[in-house]
Amino acid sequence: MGSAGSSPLSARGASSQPTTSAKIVVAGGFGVGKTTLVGSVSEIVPLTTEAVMTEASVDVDDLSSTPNKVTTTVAMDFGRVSLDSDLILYLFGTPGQHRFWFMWDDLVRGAIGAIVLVDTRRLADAFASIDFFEDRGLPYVIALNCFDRVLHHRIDDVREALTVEPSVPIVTTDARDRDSTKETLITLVEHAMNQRMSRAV
Amino acid sequence: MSTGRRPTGRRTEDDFSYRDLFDSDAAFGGPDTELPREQQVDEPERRLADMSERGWDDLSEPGLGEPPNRFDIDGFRARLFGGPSATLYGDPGIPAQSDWDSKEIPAVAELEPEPEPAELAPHETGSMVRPYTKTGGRTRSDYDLAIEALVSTSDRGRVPDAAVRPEHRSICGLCLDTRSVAEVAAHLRLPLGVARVLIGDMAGMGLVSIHQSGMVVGDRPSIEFMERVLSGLRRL
Ligand SMILES: Nc1nc2c(ncn2[C@@H]2O[C@H](COP(=O)(O)OP(=O)(O)OP(=O)(O)O)[C@@H](O)[C@H]2O)c(=O)[nH]1
Ligand SMILES: [Mg+2]
Repeated sequence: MGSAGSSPLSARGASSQPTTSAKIVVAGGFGVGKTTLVGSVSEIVPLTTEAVMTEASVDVDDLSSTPNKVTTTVAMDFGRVSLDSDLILYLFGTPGQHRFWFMWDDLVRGAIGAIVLVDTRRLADAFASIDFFEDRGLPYVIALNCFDRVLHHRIDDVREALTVEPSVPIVTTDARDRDSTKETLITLVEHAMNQRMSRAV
Repeated sequence: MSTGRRPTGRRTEDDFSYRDLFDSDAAFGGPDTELPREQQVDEPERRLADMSERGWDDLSEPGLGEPPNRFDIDGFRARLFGGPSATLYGDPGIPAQSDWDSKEIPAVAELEPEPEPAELAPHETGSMVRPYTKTGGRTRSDYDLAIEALVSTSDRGRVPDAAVRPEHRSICGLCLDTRSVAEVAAHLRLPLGVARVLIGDMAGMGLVSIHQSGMVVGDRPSIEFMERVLSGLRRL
């Protein structure tokens, strides 16, 4: 694309109102399919950006005055979906590791909600994400990524194991499938709206 | 307030705030800092359909060649600096504007040397802090930019030579099409914190405009905004 003007999102276009963006978070354990899910609806190949952080050493034996610091980069990949000529949805995929939570504050601020992607063979990987979103009051849905089309547990059992209330939707998904991802996103936004309205009363 | 989860007593986090660390001196790069890589998801059609979204990685991809105007940034260069021959392959007509050349955006560590901020501790000087020398050592922006905040080059930013610093020029080129802060960081291979500060500076200079998501109540999007997102998703 050689000309910026050919895009409906072009800043040069005489759009009536400024373009705005929405944000949805995709969380879950390593290798659970976050990038795949983001890529299934994204109009761009998922991009990666990194935040550089230093974490204090957790070495309790370290009593020196200067705290040991470990520098880490935290990768986060994201995709983009144009929902309207002036509305862009960004999907941010991030590993659900508690040591990355400094960045999750950035992620959840202003977000509509989160999809917690779960591999039913490794349910415990979802705990950190669920705890975090609970803590921040961010609406979320559980999406069971059915690798090989096999659901290894009944949904009721998953709900019990994850200790999520009946109001939290649990859906099955195929992260590779655009329509499936679209349905999951719709479920999340509806849930976020329901949660908002029930609180407003 | 219930968020839908029964209290379990199971808590995997500690009370430590990494945010605090990040906000102070935590954002300095380290020796093991890696440059971001694009996730190379194999989606040939999508790639072809939206070349402008391809990362800088792809610029040096063997076998693809480098046709002119493959990127918005080239078009930007041509418009800003070009005469009639400006769009001709390989001749931008602007010597010494190598930061616009599509061969490669300089890696973070190679960008112009600037004086290290004096307040840095000795062990944090040198290549460790290189990414942040571009921001004068600051890690915060006056603009508290959301990662999804949209950035577009202003009229002033389109004026030739309005942006002097290479990274500002790169951002002016990139944001001819509206892009998020995260996209700018990813395309320029900068840590998010650096991209934020640069964009905040540029907004202060009038080079770019920033559109923060407006329809927010407190920290959360409004019902009306979510309704727009919902109908957009249904139309997909
Ligand atoms: N069969 C099957 N494979 C899947 C599905 N979703 C993802 N995969 C595969 O699982 C692997 C991991 O998927 P990713 O999308 O990279 O997972 P991720 O959560 O982004 O991984 P990390 O970023 O490393 O934490 C890839 O090889 C995918 O092709 C699915 O629904 N079904
Ligand atoms: Mg991934």
